[in-house]
Amino acid sequence: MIISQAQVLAELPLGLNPLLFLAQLVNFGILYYILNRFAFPALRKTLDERTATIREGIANAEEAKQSLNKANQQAQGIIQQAQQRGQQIIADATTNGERLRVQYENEAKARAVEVAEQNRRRMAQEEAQARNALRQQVADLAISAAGRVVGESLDGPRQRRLVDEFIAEVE
Amino acid sequence: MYWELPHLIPSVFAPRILADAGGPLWLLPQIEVGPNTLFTIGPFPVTNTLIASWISMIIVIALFVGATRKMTIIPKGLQNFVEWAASLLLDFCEEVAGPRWGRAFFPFIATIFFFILFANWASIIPGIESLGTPEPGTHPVLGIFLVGNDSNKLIPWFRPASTDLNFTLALAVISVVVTQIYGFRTLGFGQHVGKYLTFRDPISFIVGILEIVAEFARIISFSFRLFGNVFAGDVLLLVLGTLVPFIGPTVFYPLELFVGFIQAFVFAALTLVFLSLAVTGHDEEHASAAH
Repeated sequence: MIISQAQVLAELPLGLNPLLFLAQLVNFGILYYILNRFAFPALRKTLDERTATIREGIANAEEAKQSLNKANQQAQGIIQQAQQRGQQIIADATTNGERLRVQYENEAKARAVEVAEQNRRRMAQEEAQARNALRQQVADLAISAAGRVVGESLDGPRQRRLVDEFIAEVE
Repeated sequence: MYWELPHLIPSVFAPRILADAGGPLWLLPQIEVGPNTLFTIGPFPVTNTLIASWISMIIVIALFVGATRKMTIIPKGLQNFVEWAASLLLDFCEEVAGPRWGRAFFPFIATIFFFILFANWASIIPGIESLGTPEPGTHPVLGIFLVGNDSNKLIPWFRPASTDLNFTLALAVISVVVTQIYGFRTLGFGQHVGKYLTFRDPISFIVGILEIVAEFARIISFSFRLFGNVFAGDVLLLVLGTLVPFIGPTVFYPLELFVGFIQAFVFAALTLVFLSLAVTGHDEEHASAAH
């Protein structure tokens, strides 16, 4: 029922009224129930989820940072190892190269000496053959010339031996 | 529907209306401490403060339920705003009462804070205390405006809930009773009663008695502080609206927003502090005080 002339409550001083007091208690109870039932749980859940997400993100970022540092350290180690290995390889190659150079040089020298010796022997041999051939021809010429002078053939083994001994003495 | 003129019509229109009325354009409003009964349901009086209280409840519920209905991990819009406000309050609760109790107290403290906040801020909504039912014998101008000697003969349909002592007293009683309930549940009957009744020595006994008195005084201080501040602000706006229509209240709106926020915060913060003390044993209080 709408009161045509509104009334100022005057039951108790300052407008206090037990029913209105109870009504306000009930109002607060209803508001608390509704908010605590429908709003605050979802709110806290979302806030907690976001906190967890942020915390997880920070942890992941920290983990990634540590992984990156670790990977950098590993890469640095690998680079250092590679550098050391490379230097070792270069040193080994240098040593081997020097050793091979000395070896090949020695072999080449030995081969050159050997070739020179072979050549010298071959030349000596050819010289000896040439001498023998020349001696043979000289002997033949000498015998022929002597035969013409003497007027008889000096082909016998005794004459040839004499000619050879003569040539040997000339030499 | 009838409008109380000073709070709705800019002063530039006043001279013409004054000339038509042939008398004082408006009078100072009637200041009544108690709320006005608009109608009754059986023995139950429905007052303008009770209706404003329901409106405040609806606003708070709509705000929170609307914001939390479909929550996303990346907030936006209303959810963002409500989360910001709620997380500030949650952080404050955890700072004062610690992480465990702060989270436990948060729903109660948040309900108190936002209910009082919107009840306080209702005083700056246009139409509050200027829309209402004219008293018998009045003659509205243009059918809806009350001017001249009739200008303050209006029963407003809405009046901020915090200007009703029933509202502030109810919240104060709830605050103190819930504090006591937490005290009994956490510390147990013996230890909690031991805060008030101790017979170790006469001084402690007297201090315990004073603690009991302080609990009742707390109800009075809670309720009258909130009521006094908001009621005074409301009267200030009404009087300024009469003296300097439109401009006067507008200047004081930011101040009333600030006062409304501060009073809601003080009420919630004090409740939180008393709750924190209630779940702390007497010996722990002394130990922390010694530090």
